[in-house]
Amino acid sequence: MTLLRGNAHLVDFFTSFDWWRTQPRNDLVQAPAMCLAETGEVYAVYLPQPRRVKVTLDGPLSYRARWFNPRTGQWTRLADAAGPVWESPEPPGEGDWALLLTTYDWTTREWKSYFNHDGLQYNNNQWAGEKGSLRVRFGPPTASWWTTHNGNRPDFPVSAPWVGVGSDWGNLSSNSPLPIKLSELEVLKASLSATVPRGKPNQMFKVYWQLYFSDKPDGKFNRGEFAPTVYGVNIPSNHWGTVLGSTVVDGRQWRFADQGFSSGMGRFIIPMLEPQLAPDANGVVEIRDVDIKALIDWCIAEGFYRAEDYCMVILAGWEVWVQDDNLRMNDMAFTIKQKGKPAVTIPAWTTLMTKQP
Amino acid sequence: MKDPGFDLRRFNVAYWQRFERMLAYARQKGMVVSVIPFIAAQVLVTPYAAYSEEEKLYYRYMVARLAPYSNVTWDLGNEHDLHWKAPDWADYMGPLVKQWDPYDHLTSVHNRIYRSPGNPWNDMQLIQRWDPGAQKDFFLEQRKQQAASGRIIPLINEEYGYEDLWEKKPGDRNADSRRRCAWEICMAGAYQTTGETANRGTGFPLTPAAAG
Repeated sequence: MTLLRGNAHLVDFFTSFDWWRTQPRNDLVQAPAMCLAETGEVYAVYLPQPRRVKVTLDGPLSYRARWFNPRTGQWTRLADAAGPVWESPEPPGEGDWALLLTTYDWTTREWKSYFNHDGLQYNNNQWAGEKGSLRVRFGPPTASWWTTHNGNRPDFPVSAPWVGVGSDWGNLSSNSPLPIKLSELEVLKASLSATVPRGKPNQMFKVYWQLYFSDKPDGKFNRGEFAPTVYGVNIPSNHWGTVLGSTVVDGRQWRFADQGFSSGMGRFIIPMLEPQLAPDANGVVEIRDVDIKALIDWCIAEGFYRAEDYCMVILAGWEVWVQDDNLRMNDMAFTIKQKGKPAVTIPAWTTLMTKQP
Repeated sequence: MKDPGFDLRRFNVAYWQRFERMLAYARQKGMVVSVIPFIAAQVLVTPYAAYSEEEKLYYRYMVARLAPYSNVTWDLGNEHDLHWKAPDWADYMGPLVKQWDPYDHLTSVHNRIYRSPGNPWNDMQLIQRWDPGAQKDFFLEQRKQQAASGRIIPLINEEYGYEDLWEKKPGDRNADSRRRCAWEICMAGAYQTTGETANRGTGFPLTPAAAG
């Protein structure tokens, strides 16, 4: 019964992902290819003949792509796949082939302890995806950023994933609404929800938005860094720098701190929500429709940033200064409007749509 | 042997004990066994009449004896729709088996489409459909019809042909073609099982000497 060898490979393939969550979605591929999908999570494609295939993808993710040889059970890793339509390379040989695109590597469980498909959970892996014309990204900071921040607490490892929209740095996006001149920024509102761990001694957690400014639309963000912070625990007393003043926006009090000029990044101003968000009984901190533009305007009026500066990157971030303790971003959203242009909304993470409205 | 001398009022306990040892071993190996009380299509004599007291005794004994094994499912009768002059028989026996089985094992019957909720005893759909190319459209259509019926249950093609058996031309039912069948079935959102009778398989067709 040599058939059973082939069937053993079939079992290996299907048990490498949550097949019971998938549905036949042959509309996402071209016949005779067949597709099972849990959109935004996993796409399993079977090719009776060895041909290229285009797969319509969904979700704010890039996908780990692998060939599977149904005759031998061998996996072959491909470059990551990204939507909205991804075309496979030629299959590696004759006969039938299968493809598996997953948001994480189910075979190696590489992201298992870090990634939660119900939301975002910090991890130490690069992860990026294209969504409509906006790219969202989730991963560790660049080495220079890492070094800068690690310098504050050299005894602690740092894990600081982030998600956002930007124009240049970190390849956030080539098609986002950014950069926008601050004088032309009409609306910038932000929301987020995170599940935070219980604070423990010497463990620092922060939840914030982060913006980077430049004096040129094609420049690096050497003009300043701006990080409205809504939650934090065990933050060193000197972490925020000098208090500059405070203001009230939509009934919320913000205290501004100045960390001065950081290495090549420009002025680093941190508005801190007062009181900071308190986690609910489930450890969730949530805040909606924060008028970030009003906070920026305060900084411009005080002379810390300039109306002719450009906003290059906007992201929601969180920092966990001890590894293996999870701080999970459940949700994030931005509304960005430039004068004379329609508003761009990056909807709640869990409801991102394929095309921007 | 068309009539091995069934005693419809006494059970062959040694046979049942052997069957239980098989179930226990399969359970150790993580295998689920589809228990089929009889296989009419293989031209065995059905020793009891449909709806008879003996039939009921036999099924009840089987359920009482084997239900404690977690790795069983019930297939009420292979090809029952072809060989019984009792088209509604499964709707009679299915509810009885469900009633007798305290563990509520999955129950079905081979190769007739029962649309739940009209047949609520039917927990999964056991289907026989052979050969590649015949799988995708059929199972996708079955899924649609199930969805329309309001109750979605697993679809299982438990016979999509056997390796090297009854080939129309050499190789058209070889292992590779069966494997492709299995992929088609799974990619259409259904399940598949496969097997062989003990005297078939890679050695088939039997040599004249082996065939006796």
